[in-house]
Amino acid sequence: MKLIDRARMKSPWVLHYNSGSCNGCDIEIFACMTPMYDLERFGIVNVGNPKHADVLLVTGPVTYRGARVLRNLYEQMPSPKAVVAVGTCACSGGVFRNCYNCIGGVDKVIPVDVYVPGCAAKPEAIIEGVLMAVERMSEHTPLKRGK
Amino acid sequence: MGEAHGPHLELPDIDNVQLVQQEQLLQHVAHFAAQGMRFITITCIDNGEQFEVYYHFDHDMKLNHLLLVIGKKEVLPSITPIYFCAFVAENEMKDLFGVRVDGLNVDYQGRMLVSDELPSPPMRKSSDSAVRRNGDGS
Amino acid sequence: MAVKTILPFGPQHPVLPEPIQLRITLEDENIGQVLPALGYVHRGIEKAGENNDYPLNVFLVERICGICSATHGLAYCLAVERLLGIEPPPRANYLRVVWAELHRLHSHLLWWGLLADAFGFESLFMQIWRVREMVMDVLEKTAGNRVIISVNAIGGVRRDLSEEQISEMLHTLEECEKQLYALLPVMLNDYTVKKRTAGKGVLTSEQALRLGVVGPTLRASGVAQDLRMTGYAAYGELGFEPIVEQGGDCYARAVVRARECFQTIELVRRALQQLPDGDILTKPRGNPNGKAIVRVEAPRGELMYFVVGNGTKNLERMRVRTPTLANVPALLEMLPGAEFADIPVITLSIDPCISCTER
Repeated sequence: MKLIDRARMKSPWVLHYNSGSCNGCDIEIFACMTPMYDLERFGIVNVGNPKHADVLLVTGPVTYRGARVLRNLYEQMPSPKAVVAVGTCACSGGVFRNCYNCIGGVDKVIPVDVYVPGCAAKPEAIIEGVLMAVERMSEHTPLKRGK
Repeated sequence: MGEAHGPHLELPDIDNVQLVQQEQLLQHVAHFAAQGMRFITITCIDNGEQFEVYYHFDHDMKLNHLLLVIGKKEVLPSITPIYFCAFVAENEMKDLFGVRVDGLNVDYQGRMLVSDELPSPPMRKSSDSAVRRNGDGS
Repeated sequence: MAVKTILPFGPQHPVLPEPIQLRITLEDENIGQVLPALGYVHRGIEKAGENNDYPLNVFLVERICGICSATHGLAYCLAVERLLGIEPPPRANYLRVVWAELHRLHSHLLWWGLLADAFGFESLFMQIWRVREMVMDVLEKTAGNRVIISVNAIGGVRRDLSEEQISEMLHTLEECEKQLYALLPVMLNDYTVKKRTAGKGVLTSEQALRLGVVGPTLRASGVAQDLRMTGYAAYGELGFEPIVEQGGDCYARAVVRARECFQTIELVRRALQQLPDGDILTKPRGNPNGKAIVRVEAPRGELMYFVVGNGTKNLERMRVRTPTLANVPALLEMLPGAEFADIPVITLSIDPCISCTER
């Protein structure tokens, strides 16, 4: 068990989903993968398949149609898993909190482990957020809060 | 933007607007299409009692508009047989205002942008929605 | 016998950074009919724009799309300024051009990187994004934020450039131009790039006009339409000429965007050299009343704002027509007949921005 935990910490794979964001945070997540910030030096790989992923990066205030996809993706990810809400909109709804099609905040749909504020969140902050999420996973903290 | 300095006495308004009747809409649009105009979009404005529907076209970077005023229950003919690309704008109008559009080539049944959780067209104004929330940066 | 399959492409897909779903009818490996399913990013910004005070809307419209936020802010400010009957000072007009063009540069480089990534040319993707980081640094140093720079305000701009900042900006752009020149042979002549883009998703000029296509996609089909030719802000004084390619395929679109990167650098340079002295903000007075339409050239094409004021601090209506909304119908004509493996490249070739599209 210890070995698997250590392996997971060395190489967390992330899945990114945009649930209604303005693209600002999404391109910053992309920027994290490029030579300047280079998330891959921590073994972090961006994957497209939820069943491969350990960490879910969510951007944007959650729209009704996006919420269904988001819940679906979260449920498909194997445990232990962590969710990082990237950007002010994902943390609280931001400027969109009164819009009619927004639920407002990722934590209203799925449990969130790390909140990364910023509009748009800076790559440095996103990297910090992902690493914090990995730490949380390895601490064996109960990841399913609420229900 | 060659606007003069100094106080403006007239209200700024848009030029080149042609008010058309519902029956003549397709005729006008076909005329525009024959001139090779590029369709831009449709704007719907809910003025309380009626819908003001603006059709925007571009001809060599100059704007041309058609304006149609219809009652809220009236059915609008679709211009998609002439401009295929208008289906996005017409579906959007249907979604957000509940304008009834007849003859759409791709019909999302009022569910292109909004999902089932929202019961009524969100941008349509009814008599009780005149109370606005105070703008607090939200 | 061809087997018909209906395949959903998206909303969560590795090559698409944004959620859009394309329902594709496949006949073996060939694409038949394509239908987009939207609504994953629809937030209702047009409605929110009616509830806010009109000066606060600047921050809202900038968040319609993070990638072209400077252009959204610019278009909204121009529209409200016309309603209020105020004119921004000349220095503000030039500064608006500087930031709008820097945003275009970062957007085009971003697109080039994503295109390279879509056909698996990882090293080109990394190289281009390395150059892009220089632009992002300039934006952060001068505007205080990397992506959403929020420089436009009603009546002018919110930030000024000092002499040191101008010389540093010029220096960085020169370095950026040099590095892009070094990459240009790969971007335009490499076998992989040509093989994946040339002849794919062809759109003739008649088709493009009929489908209402805008921006680099339209100019790649041989139509010289660029809203910057109308000379809004300070473009009229900078000697702007649109860039046009005749091919109409994905390669032509890539070439247009590559050439526009250099043009953008040149425009920023000219704007900084001619930068007049003076104020940067005219104080707005009163409330907007009347109707105004403003069209500007966003990185993805024509962006239209139709703003209706009613004499109160709230707007009566704020209609936004974003460029991708105009380009999506063209996808439905370009994809049928293409091969399944070309979907990512053709879809990316219109530079889709879904959060713009749905607002």
